Amino acid sequence: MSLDTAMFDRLLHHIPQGARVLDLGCGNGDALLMLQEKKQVLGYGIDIELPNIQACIKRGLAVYHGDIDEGLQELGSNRFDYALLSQTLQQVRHPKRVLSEMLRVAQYGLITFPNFAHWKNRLQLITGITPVTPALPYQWYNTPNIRVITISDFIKMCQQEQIEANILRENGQFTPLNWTDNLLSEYGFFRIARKGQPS
Amino acid sequence: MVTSHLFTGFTQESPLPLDSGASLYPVAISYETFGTLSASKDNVILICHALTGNSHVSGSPQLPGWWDHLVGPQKAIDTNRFFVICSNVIGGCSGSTGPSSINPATGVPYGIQFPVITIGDMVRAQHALLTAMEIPSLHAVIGGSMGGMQALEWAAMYPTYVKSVVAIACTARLSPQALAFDSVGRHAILSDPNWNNGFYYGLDIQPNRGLAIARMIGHITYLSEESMRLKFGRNLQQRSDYGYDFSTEFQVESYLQYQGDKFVNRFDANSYLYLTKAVNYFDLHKKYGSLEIAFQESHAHFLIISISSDWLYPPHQSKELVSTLMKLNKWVSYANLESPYGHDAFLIKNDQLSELIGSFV
Repeated sequence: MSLDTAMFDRLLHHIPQGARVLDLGCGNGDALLMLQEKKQVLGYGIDIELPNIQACIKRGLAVYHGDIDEGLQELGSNRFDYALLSQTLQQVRHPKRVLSEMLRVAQYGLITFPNFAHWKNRLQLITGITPVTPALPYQWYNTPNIRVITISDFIKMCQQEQIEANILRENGQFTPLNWTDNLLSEYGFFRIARKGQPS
Repeated sequence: MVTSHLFTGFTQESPLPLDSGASLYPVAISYETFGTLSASKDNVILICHALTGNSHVSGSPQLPGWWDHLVGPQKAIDTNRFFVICSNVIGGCSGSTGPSSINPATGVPYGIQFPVITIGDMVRAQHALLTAMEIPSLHAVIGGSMGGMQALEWAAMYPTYVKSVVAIACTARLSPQALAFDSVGRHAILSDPNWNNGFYYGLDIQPNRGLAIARMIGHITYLSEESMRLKFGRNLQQRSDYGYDFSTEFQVESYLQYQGDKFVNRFDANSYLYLTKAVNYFDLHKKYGSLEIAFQESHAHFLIISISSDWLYPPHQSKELVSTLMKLNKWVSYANLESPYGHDAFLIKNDQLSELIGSFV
């Protein structure tokens, strides 16, 4: 199952009808378009690449051309129900700020990143090479990823930042971490919220 | 299919009200149309020209339009599909009523007795034209620079009439730096003895020196440091070495002088005063109390485009507009075009710009 399919399944299960959804790093708008068609969401995208912006406008999506690493100050607080951050956290310079901004503009964040502690990565590291896998398909010299993140690391940081992080399962349910997740998951799928939010 | 028209409206009994409190009659608006109006009149795009532009947005090889690469059959703004209207602004000198028009009260050109007009007044006059043409709504209003200001003002003044707005290289109000450059331009005209307090029409001597200098200053603000460096460097125009005198030596000097001299043949000094003043007074925050109030009633979809190297109306001013529209939950998209050409980039052929506008409309 491709990451997109895995993510889209989870989004479809999880995001309620008519929700207000912000997609950070929306690419060509595939996820937003899918959510608009199937869940009638009110979508908004942000992307740093102009060709992506053009593609989204062509598809009738409203988008903002900007760098999420520089903050989301153009967006008012609590504008969205969900902020999506797919396969981008490992590429941002200020992950804490990005997460905090996500939870300022939206009630929940839905996040995916490649889990560096997946057993395939561990095996490759043991042999002395930087892991190259379908989830981490780059060589060390051409990777856009500037951080390696494991599911355990992510949870730890969220605890420090008073962020509640739950694993988003394939069926759209979210559950706390269990001991196998960090070893067996190729990707981390999380729903985050400010501590004390109703679930 | 391009056709030129002249609309005349407003009378002494029912003049065009102006933001200053004054009023104006009669008001002539010269405009051009491109393409064919649909039976349901729902395919109308109004294009608003910039400070020294005119209604000739699209043309022929003999008489090119200023946005030929964007407007025409099968172009981004496709005249096979849309009925495009472009009118000359009031206050200008391209056929619509302005300071060089005859003042009905005196029988001679207005000169500086012409009332000071605003971007809002330009838009009010355009609305009168479209009403006379029995156009029920605008599919889009599009403009760059001063044209973008008109597009924004359209959304604010006629919130349900406009379905979409494209504002390029634009701002909701000028920065003090931009005001300063315009002020120096006006001073150049006002201090030209041939300006003669605005009454030079029909005289042999025109305030060409002042107007040319104003244009040179303006032109600097339309370019960027990078574009000037790439285009001229420090190259000398004719000599191989410095002449140690005060003649025009550097290519950039010669270029500006050429632009200034060319400009005086097609533009009226008083119009330059009036139009820069209109741009300087443009302030949606002040006019409506806040930018939020200006746009809160608007039903339009917005596309805001800035130019990365535009230091006259820099991208952060466009972002402020976008931010406000987002807060109001308006449908708004924003793109910042990477271009080295400065403010003027909106007039230069740019595939990304065409693609964005074409996709949006």
